[in-house]
Amino acid sequence: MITINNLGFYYKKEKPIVKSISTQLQSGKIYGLLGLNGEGKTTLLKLLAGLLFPKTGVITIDNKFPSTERSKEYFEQLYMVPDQPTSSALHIPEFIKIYSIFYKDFSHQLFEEALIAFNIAPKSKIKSLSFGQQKKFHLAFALATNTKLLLLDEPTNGLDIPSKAIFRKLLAKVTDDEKIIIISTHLVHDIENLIDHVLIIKEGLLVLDSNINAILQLYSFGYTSMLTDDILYSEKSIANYKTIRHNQDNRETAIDIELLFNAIQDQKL
Amino acid sequence: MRNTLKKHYYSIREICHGSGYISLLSITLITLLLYVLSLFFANKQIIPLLIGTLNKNAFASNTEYLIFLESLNFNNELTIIIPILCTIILLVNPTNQLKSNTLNRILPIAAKDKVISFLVIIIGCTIISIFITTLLDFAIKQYLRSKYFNEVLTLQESIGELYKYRTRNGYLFSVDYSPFLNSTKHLSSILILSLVCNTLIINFILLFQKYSIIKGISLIVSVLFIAFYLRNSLIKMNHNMALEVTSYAYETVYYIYFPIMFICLIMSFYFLLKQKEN
Repeated sequence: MITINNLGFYYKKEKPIVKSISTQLQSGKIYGLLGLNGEGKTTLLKLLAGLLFPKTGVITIDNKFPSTERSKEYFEQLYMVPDQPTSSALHIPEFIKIYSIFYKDFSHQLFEEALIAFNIAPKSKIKSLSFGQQKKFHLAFALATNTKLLLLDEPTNGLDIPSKAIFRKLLAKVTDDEKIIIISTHLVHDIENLIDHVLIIKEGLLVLDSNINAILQLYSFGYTSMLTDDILYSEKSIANYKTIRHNQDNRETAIDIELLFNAIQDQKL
Repeated sequence: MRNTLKKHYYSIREICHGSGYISLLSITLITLLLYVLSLFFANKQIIPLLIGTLNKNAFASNTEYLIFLESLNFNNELTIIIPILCTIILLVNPTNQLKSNTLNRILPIAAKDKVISFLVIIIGCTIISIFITTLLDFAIKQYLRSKYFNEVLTLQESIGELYKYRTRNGYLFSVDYSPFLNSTKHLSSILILSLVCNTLIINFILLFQKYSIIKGISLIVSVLFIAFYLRNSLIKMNHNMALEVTSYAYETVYYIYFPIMFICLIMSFYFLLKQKEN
């Protein structure tokens, strides 16, 4: 479990990026971290990864390791794939030989499976791969580390359409009761059917911190051709309207995260 | 103990082969390049020597060529800084990775272990580079001596100087010439200097986001300038007395001030690793 308590961060005091965020991230869940550009998604991930230090508050893993200690024990629990991972001049086998040793649960089998699934030649030179292929390589490595906390910043950015589906399959495969996976993304459709919990960050605050089931108990998502008063939020689509209503009759609907996100941005929910 | 050694081995391997390009080959190539450059910078005789080696007729006469060879001074003081420069060049990339590469920054290696790994690499690179420099120095000088010594002797005999004796080590054809002089005698000094300079550069790279080496060097030059200005003005105030620099003063610098500075730099490196954000 990761505990975030009263987390605050700014580069300039008068312009805070993260303001007093408190939450608990539970093991065994995939979190979708959403927000507009510059709202603090990447900053939050960096704070969780110990790359930045909170100006206020504290982050701990299992109430034992604070992020500010930057201890070996803290880093053993996490892996982060940034939006644009740094390229390496190494060949893949050399990279694995050098870096996998630092992660005690690294799965060589899973890594090889992921490379095959992503269609990456296992002996390629990393620098000579395209941006999308490099991203896939780093995602494969990240999934194979089997760390307790996996932080993925825009993981599907740069991936071709089949690779997005492969990524979802691999992510579903590595998920277990011990892991916490946080995915920060703009491309919500890519992860819509994967995430268990939505975190929406707006103006430095967590304006939504709820699991999908709780959201679906409160709201129903659907389509209509006629707008009525009970509709909380609607968006015009090609032939009709996408809508969010209160789920008064406990209907089972599929969540539309993009619609939910837009409704929250418009302060309709 | 075995685990600790393994841990350091993995960390050193990551710095040398993962973040950087540090190998016996790269140390040799950089040392060789720096050595060749130093020959051109430190020795004005290298170009005439090269011309003469290729074509003796470029000199006005053979005697003039032999006189030039006789006066050949091959004392290259710059060889002292080659191992230090070589280590700095090799460590720039891994240090930059500490600052900018997310993978590197979240690697589960304790800060103190990273510091130790960097120190081992600095010492290792410096010693290997010293060895290669010494070897190059020795090989080049032995080659020149084997090729021209007899010609120089012939010249000396022809002008009646049968027992010409030069005590200065710089002259390649003097009787007591010692090609090992530059590197072996100053081994400890070079090591101390290399540790201080490299940790200083590492601190600068971690401290400044952009143009870190230029900013760092500017900072040192500014501090030295102020110190020099203050020293001069203070001495002038005190009846213009002059300070005599003795060998004791040099020893104080090498064995007291540098180690203290080095310890401070190591502490700074450790805390930068622990606290540097990006």
